Amino acid sequence: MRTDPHLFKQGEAIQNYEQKELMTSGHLACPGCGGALAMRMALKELGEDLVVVIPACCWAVIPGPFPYSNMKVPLMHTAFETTGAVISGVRAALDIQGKTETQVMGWAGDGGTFDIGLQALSAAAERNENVIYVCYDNEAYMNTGIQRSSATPEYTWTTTTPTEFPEASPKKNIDRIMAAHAIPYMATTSPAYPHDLMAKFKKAKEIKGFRFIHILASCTAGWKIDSARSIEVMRLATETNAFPIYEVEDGEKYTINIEPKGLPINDYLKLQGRFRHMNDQQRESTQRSVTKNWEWIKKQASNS
Amino acid sequence: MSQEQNRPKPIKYNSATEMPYCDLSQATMEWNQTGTWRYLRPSYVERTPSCQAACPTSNDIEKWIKLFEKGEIEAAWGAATIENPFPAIMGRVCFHPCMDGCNRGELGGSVNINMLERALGDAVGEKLPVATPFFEKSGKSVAIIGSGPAGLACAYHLTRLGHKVTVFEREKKAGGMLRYGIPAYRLSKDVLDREIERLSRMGVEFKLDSGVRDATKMQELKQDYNAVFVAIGAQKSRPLGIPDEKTTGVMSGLDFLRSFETGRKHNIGNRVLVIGGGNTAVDAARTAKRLGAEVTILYRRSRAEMPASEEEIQAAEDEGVRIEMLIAPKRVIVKSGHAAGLECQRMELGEPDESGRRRPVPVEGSEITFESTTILSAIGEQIETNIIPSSLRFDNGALVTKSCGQTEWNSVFAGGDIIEQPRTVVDALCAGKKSSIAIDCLLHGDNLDKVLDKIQIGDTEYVSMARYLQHRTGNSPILSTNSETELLNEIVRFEDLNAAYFTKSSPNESPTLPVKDRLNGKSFEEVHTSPSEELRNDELSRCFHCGRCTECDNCFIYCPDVAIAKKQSGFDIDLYYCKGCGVCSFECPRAAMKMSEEPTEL
Ligand SMILES: Cc1cc2nc3c(=O)[nH]c(=O)nc-3n(C[C@H](O)[C@H](O)[C@H](O)COP(=O)(O)OP(=O)(O)OC[C@H]3O[C@@H](n4cnc5c(N)ncnc54)[C@H](O)[C@@H]3O)c2cc1C
Ligand SMILES: Cc1ncc(C[n+]2csc(CCOP(=O)(O)OP(=O)(O)O)c2C)c(N)n1
Ligand code: SF4
Ligand code: SF4
Ligand SMILES: [Mg+2]
Repeated sequence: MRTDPHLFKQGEAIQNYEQKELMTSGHLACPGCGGALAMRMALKELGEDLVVVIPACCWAVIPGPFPYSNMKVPLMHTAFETTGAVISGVRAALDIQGKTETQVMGWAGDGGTFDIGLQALSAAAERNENVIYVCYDNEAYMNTGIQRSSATPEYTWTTTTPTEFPEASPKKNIDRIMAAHAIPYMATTSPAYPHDLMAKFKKAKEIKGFRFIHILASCTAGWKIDSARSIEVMRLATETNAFPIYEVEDGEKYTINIEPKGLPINDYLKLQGRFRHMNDQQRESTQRSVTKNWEWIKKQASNS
Repeated sequence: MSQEQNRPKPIKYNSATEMPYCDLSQATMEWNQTGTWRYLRPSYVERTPSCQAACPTSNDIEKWIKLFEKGEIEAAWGAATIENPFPAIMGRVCFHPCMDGCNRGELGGSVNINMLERALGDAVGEKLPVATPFFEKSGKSVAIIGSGPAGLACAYHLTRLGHKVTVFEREKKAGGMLRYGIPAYRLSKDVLDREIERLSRMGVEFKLDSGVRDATKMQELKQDYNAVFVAIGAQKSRPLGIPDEKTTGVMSGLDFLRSFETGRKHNIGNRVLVIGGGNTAVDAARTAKRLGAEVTILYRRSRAEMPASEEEIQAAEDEGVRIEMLIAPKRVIVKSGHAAGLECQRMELGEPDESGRRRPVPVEGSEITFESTTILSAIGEQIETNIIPSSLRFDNGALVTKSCGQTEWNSVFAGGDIIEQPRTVVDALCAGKKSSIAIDCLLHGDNLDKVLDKIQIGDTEYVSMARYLQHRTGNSPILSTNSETELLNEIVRFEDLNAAYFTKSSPNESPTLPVKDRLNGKSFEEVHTSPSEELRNDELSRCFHCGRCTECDNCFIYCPDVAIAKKQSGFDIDLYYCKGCGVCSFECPRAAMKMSEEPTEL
């Protein structure tokens, strides 16, 4: 079947994983949640020999209340700002028990990563802890009711940046911050590209040291989108260069994993209520900044 | 519901001592029936691909492409021949309206369905299986007059529906225009013979050389048989209506083409003029060219108005046939009792006529003459009315019928070129099928209009035999095998597909014989040849499979609620957990799912 090779490898990336379902149904994510889907795909690849650490965020709620969980692997809840520190601790405890092959994954939101958890994250990266740190990025503090974070794109509506005073700063570039730590592996991905997402977890699993994976995660309530279009919106984020999918090894080697169509940014913006108030000038400015960022990444990729 | 009772239940602690020493999870969330959140419900459906809706035989192209791609050739052939008896013939002569409908046209070019259909017919080739009847013998018998495509199709479908069929044909061989009109370089007689042979083996009785001579004989047939299908075509060449057209050296294009099958040989000389712009004109010209003559087609309008298929016109030009536009014949120039040329007049295009094409009007004083050794006239075919009882009406030269070809005489039906419909083989097959269903309904005392509602494809005039069989038996051999898949009579358009999943690709052209080979000794060899397996498979892979599940796994992998499971074949949606987000349905590349409102009562 002739289909888009990025989006759709008939059975290829997916076939081996269909039996391994480590996330269960019955969880509390909203219908169409991109973050829930990201976890499902990540767990399929990481397998059972794994400890997951989750700070305060939507994903602290999604697994359900005591005495339940929606994961068939150990999951440890922790305080908002501590992910980097707690995964380092869990790693040390496992190593002492000789369980050096067990993977440790921190799974935090953008608030817990870009903002309050940045210090602990940076420290763990600097120590090159043997852990995987995942930021599922829905571009605001969603769990507490859609407050802006430093991951919120410029001009976005949130409850703390109403349409008269939309988000004033551009999205913080966490990818460059993490790449600058010269960690073994830094990657961006999105559940709109399942085989890319799973391939990256597979690759991360084989690498020792600090691995940072930044996943775009649609939020139907916070982005004001139709739940059915959840994947489409994330796909358009990549196709319009708003969320490029690439990876950086050892802080130097840049590889672009999804070659985007380079669609106009408005294709992405127009589907989302959080951008509806934007005027032409703001749209053009957004177009310029995503293009600039993309050109920069392309340059890094061609130089490495 | 019994399944629901086996779901995990929430944990109940009777005292603090039963609880873990710290807040450790004890079970999964699977007790939580998130399905109660849902107000839209996903399900799997089968819709009609646009190619099928554009094919007068309602050929379920997607279905056989899928089987063909898997290498299940006989199954593919079986699926194709439910609707269309002759893949090998249609892959050669059909003007393929399906391809104009194909959604792939929006992304690089339509699937070359015509080439694939030929490949399918040829892949089965000599070992053509005999299509088996769907029903026991009914004891009813039907007479068919004429063995052109309309008659053959009607005979084929009626036989599969269990009736005894006798075909009366005035020629020595069956096939109608497939044999006596369409030349061998487009449809080899071997292919035609073996397809007709297959109908004989199915039990169709052919009475050849048995023309129905007059209306009295028609009356007799009506009495002797439970029903009659009249498919005598339009076989008479329209006269030119110019002086001296009866002179030797002037002949109808149709007679010329027929002579190759009847064995009569004509000496046409080296300068042939063909008058007309339809298929007969182009075929007569290409045939004369193959006999070594210099050939010029004279047509009174412009190229855009030529009724012949564009592909055929192009092929004629490739082979060196000259086409003179805007020329109308005025009189035959006779020299010593033999036509020696044509005096013609130049035309120009005026106002549109009733056919919507611009009417040619003579340009005064623009006479022009063409020399010739033979003049072939091919300005259209007329219907012979002599065997039709006078109580049946003709309008505009065509027999008037009601729905599905039924005439004023309830048990007498007609279809093909004899009625008002496009004069193509595929429309003739369509007419034969529609009448076969109407006759079957008549013989079963079924209400035709009610049946039509169930078997019509979308809002087209075309009907599906698969759906008819489903109506008659409750299940059908080629409709979805998954009982949970709902069949919708909705046509899938390009906008209904999720285009993100498809990339642009250009079609593979059908392989053709080089022009020089067409005009030497091998001149009556087929111009188109069967595609190689590689070419064919590449073309098969271009189909989107509109409206049909291909088990691509998208719904499965994208469900954030792990509510879709893969089965041996197809998928299961667990409505106990499905929240109704609609992602699965939206991400289905081919519109094979739908979301519908949650029923209010349980
Ligand atoms: C030269 C030529 C080329 C064509 N090329 C194409 C093409 O490439 N593709 C396409 O789709 N269409 C083509 N057409 C049109 C197509 O062939 C016709 O539309 C089609 O054959 C009509 O089918 P039919 O069964 O109605 O009639 P016909 O094919 O004309 O068959 C009628 C049959 O009835 C028989 N018959 C007539 N009177 C009696 C009688 N009294 N008793 C018993 N039998 C009788 C005839 O002998 C004949 O066998 C072409 C037509 C011509 C003339
Ligand atoms: C120290 C601290 N401050 C505030 C909170 C309240 N709180 C819980 S989740 C959350 C927002 C999390 O946002 P993000 O990390 O982006 O995850 P999301 O909910 O968007 O998935 C906040 C502010 C807290 N739990 N701890
Ligand atoms: S892509 Fe395939 S199913 Fe769709 S219209 Fe074309 S041939 Fe038919
Ligand atoms: S993706 Fe899952 S939850 Fe959403 S509608 Fe489909 S089956 Fe239901
Ligand atoms: Mg967030």
